[in-house]
Formats: sequence, C-alpha cells, structure tokens
Amino acid sequence: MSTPDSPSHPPDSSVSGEGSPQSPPVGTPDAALLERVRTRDPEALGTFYDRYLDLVFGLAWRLLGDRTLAEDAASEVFLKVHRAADRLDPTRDPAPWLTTITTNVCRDLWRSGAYRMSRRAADVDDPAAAATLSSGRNDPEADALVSERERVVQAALMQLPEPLRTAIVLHDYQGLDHRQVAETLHIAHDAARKRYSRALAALERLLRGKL
Amino acid sequence: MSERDEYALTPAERATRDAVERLARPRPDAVFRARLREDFVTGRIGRRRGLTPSRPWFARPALLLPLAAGFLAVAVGIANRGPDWRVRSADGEGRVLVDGQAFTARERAGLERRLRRGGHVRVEGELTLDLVASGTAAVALAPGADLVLSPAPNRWWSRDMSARMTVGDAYFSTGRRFRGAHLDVRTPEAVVRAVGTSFAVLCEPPRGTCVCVLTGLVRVGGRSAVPGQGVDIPHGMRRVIRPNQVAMTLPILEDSVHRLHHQLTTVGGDLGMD
Repeated sequence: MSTPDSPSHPPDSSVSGEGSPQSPPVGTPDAALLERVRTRDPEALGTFYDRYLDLVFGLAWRLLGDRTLAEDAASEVFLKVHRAADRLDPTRDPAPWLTTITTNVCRDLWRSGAYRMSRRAADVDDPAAAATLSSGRNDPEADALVSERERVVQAALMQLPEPLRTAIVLHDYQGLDHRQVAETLHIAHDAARKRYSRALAALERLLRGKL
Repeated sequence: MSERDEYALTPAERATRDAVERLARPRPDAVFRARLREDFVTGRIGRRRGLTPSRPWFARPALLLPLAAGFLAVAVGIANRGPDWRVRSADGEGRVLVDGQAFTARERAGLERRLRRGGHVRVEGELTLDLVASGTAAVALAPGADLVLSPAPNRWWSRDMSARMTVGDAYFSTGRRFRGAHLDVRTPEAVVRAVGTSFAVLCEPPRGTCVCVLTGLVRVGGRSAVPGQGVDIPHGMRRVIRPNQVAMTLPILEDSVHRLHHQLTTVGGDLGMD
C-alpha cells in the first residue's frame, strides 16, 4: 500500500535531471527537524524546503498543468507552511499535510481568474516543461517518446473536470490510497472510491488509442 | 495498493492508471527553487503578499457588499412601511370608486385590496366608508366625498400623510403611532395641517371649506398657503374659508362633534387609544 509516508513515486533524479542531492527522501519523519521548523530555525526551514519542494511542485504541476501556476502554488504553499510552522506536529509526517495544502491551493487557483486566463493559453507542449521531463539518459528518441506520452497523458488529465483530476492525481500519481484521498479532499471514503473510479473511466476514454 | 481495486479494472483502465503512475515528477527550475528557498528560509515569504486565492463569484466582497446592502435596503424599506388602510366598515346603499373601479358595500375584500395604499376614492349614494390604518390614523368618508388619499405614514421616515379633497365631508383621527408624523389635507379653498388630532374637513363648493377641530391643534391656511402655514385652530373651534379666501373662526359644529366622537369610539381601539 502506498501512503504519503512511503510514496510510490520517490523523487527520481534520473528522470528529472534536477534536484537537491543533499535532501533526504520524503516520508521520513524527522521529529528533531520538525521541532526546529516549528521555531522557524532557518537551517531547519532550508532542509524542510529541500525535502518537500519537489513533492509540492510536482503535485501542483500535475493538477494545474502549467509551470507558472505550479510555481505560484508552490510559493503559496510554502507561505502557508511558514505561517503555520508553529502548529506543525513533529511526531507526524508532514507530507499528507503538505498534500492537503497543495490541493487546497490548487483548488483556490482553479477558481481564480488567473487560472482561467492561463487555461486559455494552456500549453502542455511547453518546451520548458518537456525539457524538464526529459529522461536525462542522453537518448533523444527515448526522450521524445517519454515527452510525447507525458504530453498526451497530461493533456487528457487537463480535460477531466477538476474533482476527477484531483482524485486520479492524488491516487495514482501521488500514491495515496482511497482513505487518504478522502481525508485530503474532506469527503467520505466511499465517495473517494467512486470519484476515483469515475475519473479512471473518464481518463481511459480520453486516452483510448493514444497510449 | 490494497485499495486499488485491481480486480475490477479493465486492461485499458489498468494501462491508464499505469500511465498516470509513470508520469515524471516535474521539478521547478533552479532560479525559482533558489529564490523561493531564500524567501522561505529568511522569512521574507511571510512578509511578501501571498497569492490571494479567488473566492467563488458569490463570495466576492465586490459582489457581496452591494448585494448585502441591497438586501438590507429592501429589508429596511419593508420594515419602514406603514400599515395598510383597512375598511373598518362600509354601511349603506351606494358604491365606492377607487381609482375608477367600483365596489359596493358587500365587496369589502376587493375594496380593501384596492385601497391598501390609498388612491382616488369617491363615495357615491348613501354609503359611509370607515377606513383605519392600524395604530396610526382613521378616516371616515361621508356620502358624496371625493378625495385622493395617500398611504398611512411610514414608521421611521417618509412620515407624511396627505389627502386632497374636492368635495364632501371627511373625518380624520390620528392614533398613538402617528406621533411625529403630520397630515396635510388640501381642499380648493384651504390647506390644513394636523400633527395629532381629531378633526373634520367639510368641503362644500361653492360655499367653501370648514375645518372642525375636536381635539388637538390644527393649522389652517388659504389655498395658496404652504402646509404648516396659517391660523392655529384649537379644539372646540372651526375655521371656515370661503372661495374668495375670506376666513373666520367659529365654535365647532355639533354634527362634527358627534361624528368625530363616533369615530373615536368605533376605531379608538384600532388606533391604540384605549
């Protein structure tokens, strides 16, 4: 079972090409670190940031489908974290908390004029994004295939209604189970299952013959 | 993946799920990463203005405030509205025309609906009409009366009440909630202002207008006077103004005393004067 404590998709520097090698893996609760984050110790904040930025940014990017908006969302999430740092529970893994904040921030952005404007000019073929998503194996053909599949899947995700997109991204991309999805979205467990089921069926229809 | 419903997925759905699972982890570029890190670590992020997530359209202050103000204005407007005119009694043969629509004494409900906010009232035949606006004012119209009656005074503002008579006798009494309001009656010969009283206006062209004051004080002016200007007529007296604007103050008419007493007796309860 995949949980935020043990994500099914740990950051893979071979895929992303960028990263922060000094960051320990996400999902390892570090009470001492979190205790220092609570006091807003700069060094602890830096470590916390290095550890969780990719989780936040990746989720935001998949939900919003736009690099600039994902950056806005990540900034907003870390602003909220900074403000609420003293309420952090050092005994608990902060990943689910960050996932919830990120999802909520994305939801706020969806409702904003900025998001609607950006969707009009939405470009999942964003060359910058494609470059970021390259395999890093110096294999242009493989890169092209990965990039094309990424583009098709992301484009299909962006066609889903936002609640369905959130359900499938949290479940399959973020690796949460239905219970965690339900907690993140503040809906019932059964509702989370049904929503995921509908999302998967809808996405399958959108991707039919394209994968 | 204990809850992934593996058994229920079709091959196509499984492929779809795998495609989502295999999506790469996009990462922010180095410049953004470094800038945000610096802001987060130094606390500058808390001092800069964060994104202001847009609220749903119905929760936006720009819309909510005018909407709330509108609702408030409507609510206050409704609360301010004075009482409607009710038909206390309609006795005798004849009919009442309200804004041209005729009612007999038996069609009281329709008459009351039509008269709720006043109107042009003409009493024909031998009919006598008693109207009351609960707690505020009462008007009795004798056969032959013709007047335009305004709504009863509002509660807090727009507390003017007026009547414009062309002919006939009308008897006015004000109630407890009339306090602070004023009643102006205009006839072809006179302008009458009362601020809490019982009085009669007898309008008999071409003989003139007679204002009989049973209680309180009424100010009576000539036809060109502004309401509130003129001669104070105390209780027990009457003011007669001829069409040529010759005026005199005399003792009240017995018939007016009788009729106003009768009005106060019958609608005193409705006016809160018990």
